[in-house]
Amino acid sequence: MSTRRYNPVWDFGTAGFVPGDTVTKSKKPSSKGVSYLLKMGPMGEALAVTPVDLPNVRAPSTEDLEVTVPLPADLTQDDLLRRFHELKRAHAKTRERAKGEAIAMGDDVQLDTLGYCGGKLIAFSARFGLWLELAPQLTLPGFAEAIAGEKLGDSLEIELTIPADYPVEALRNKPARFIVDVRAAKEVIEPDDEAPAFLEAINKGKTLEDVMDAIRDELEDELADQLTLEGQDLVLDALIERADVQVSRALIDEEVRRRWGQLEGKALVERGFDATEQQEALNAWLTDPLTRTDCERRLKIALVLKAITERDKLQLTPDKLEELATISAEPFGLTAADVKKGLRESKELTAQMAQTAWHMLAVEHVLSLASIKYEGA
Amino acid sequence: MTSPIAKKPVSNPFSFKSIVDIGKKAVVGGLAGAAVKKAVTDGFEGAKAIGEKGLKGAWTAANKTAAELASNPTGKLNLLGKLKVAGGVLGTVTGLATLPGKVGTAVKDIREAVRTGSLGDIATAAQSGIAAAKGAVTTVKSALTTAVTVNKLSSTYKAAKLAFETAVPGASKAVTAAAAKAAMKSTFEGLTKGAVKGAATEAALLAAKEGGTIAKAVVGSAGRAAAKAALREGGKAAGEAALKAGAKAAAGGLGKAAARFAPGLNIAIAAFDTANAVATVMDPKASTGKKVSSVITAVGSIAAATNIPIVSQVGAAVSAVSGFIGSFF
Repeated sequence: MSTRRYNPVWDFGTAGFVPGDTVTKSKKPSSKGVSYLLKMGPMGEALAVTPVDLPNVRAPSTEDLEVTVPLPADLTQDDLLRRFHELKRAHAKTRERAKGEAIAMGDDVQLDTLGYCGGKLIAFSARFGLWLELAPQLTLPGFAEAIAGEKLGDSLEIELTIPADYPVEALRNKPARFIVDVRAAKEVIEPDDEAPAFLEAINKGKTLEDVMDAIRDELEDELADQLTLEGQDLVLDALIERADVQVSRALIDEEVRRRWGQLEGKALVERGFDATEQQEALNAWLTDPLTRTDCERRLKIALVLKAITERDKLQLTPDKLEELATISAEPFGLTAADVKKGLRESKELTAQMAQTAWHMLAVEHVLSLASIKYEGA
Repeated sequence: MTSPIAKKPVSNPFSFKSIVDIGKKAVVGGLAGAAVKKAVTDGFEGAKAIGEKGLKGAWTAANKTAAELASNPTGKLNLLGKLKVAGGVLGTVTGLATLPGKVGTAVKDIREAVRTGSLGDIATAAQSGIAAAKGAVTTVKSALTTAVTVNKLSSTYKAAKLAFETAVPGASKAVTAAAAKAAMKSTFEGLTKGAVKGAATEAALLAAKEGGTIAKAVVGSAGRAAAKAALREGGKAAGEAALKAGAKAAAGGLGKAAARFAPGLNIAIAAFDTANAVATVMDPKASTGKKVSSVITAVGSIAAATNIPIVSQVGAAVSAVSGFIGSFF
């Protein structure tokens, strides 16, 4: 099987990878810059330009592409109550707490965290700028309670025992220690459940019963969205199976490494993590089964879609890019005018957006050829 | 109707067994001691005293009882009533120390001290006076956070299913699906319902719940949702329906009930893109181009399983892309 080489380039301005050929010479990292990066350890390697061998993939058949989406479980009462709780929080009055002020349960708090277990950094425990509602966490009992009463601006060392039913089996019943920096906090004063002003503000009905019915309808719409996306995922998985594409361990490693660099490595370097600490954090990502499986799946999907795009001669046009961007932006409150302006701001940014749009175009194409049925419909 | 789910074991070097093996190798050493929260006016002094004089050195008269209890690792903690929370929390937290005004995550000495659990090291780190590089710490501008996303649920289900099939080749489809769902459920149930204890105690709604009103409302919801999904147009419009569904999922809506903290579990990958998009859109300093780009990245990640650093090119030759870009300027 022949291979091709792909040389992405890290664009420091946009903090992302762009196709190498579209980056101007002035933006390419100099050899001096690359050497400096490599000396930084794992993060430097994640940023450095390294060629990658991609397998050649034959486009699979899209004939008779049929999938059935399983019927999910019904919504629960707790689902409705949880959404009601979110509504209350969204319509609450808030007050920024001052540095040195004590934090209370019910606050929104912003934390930086690191966790250690058995002398090692816990994978994915490095979270920075994380906003949480300070409320009892079913998965980590005691964590929120330990923070309540502490002061904004302080750093805490919390020791606790991971519960026996924790989602990660390897951590169950183990003692763990967390560093928690309390960066910001807001006192949240929730409205009364049945106050007329609150019910009017949320605009979902005049009584709690009406509100619950409205919430149920909204959640059902969201569940329908989930089912639509699950149908799409089933189609993509079917194509991967038909193509029988294989990706090497080394390719998955490189994918994980670059994702780690984007999502975690940069923040660790900013906090003075040396090469040994960085490597420990990276190793946790490289050995996490679900992370590898997810990255492997995305790699396979991209390779298969690329093959289909070339076989079926799909073509992204500027109008299509603008259309896809507008659909994506609308739920975020960005207008068509914003999208038009944003697409014309920077060639590097537009190139990035175009790559994603190509992928979306290919997904739209294969879905148009598939038959998706929904169990229970 | 044939299922698209693979019937043959999928080659996957990892399985749930390997998770346990990794965990076993990671368990080395143990707690070198427990740092106990003392109600001293200056937490730094408390930590310092622990280092210099041992546990008893940090006692004050008012806290002597608490410290006595805390010095017994099998006894219940009573940090001035702080941890008296219903639900079995008591005893879960075994220690708490405060370093006032420090940015602990950014100080290597503190990280190493916490890693080893040595009280002496923590005290030394606290005394070292190392100024944290606060200026280098990135600030998330937006208070909006996103809950568990749709893509995360479905991709994790599939990952769990693949791992299960590898570990138990030949398992029937029903068993495989059930085991994968159980794994996913146990993985995410706590995450999605992390703060629900607060929601469940709204007094007025408790009555509605106990009276069965809400229960009646949710019966049959899955079937109705499936019918709604089925009514969405097929063919060419199917792609747009999926894109819109993904965009709505990415946007999150309402700044839903906080992100989740689940050490050991990688929820960051799926949540990062959407959280980044929300933060960028809310950032008054972010350019329009950055906002639009972040949104497309997030939606692509959910609606089209994209966001791949290496293989980000589905499109045709790079030269065609270059010409394409030029048309916007």
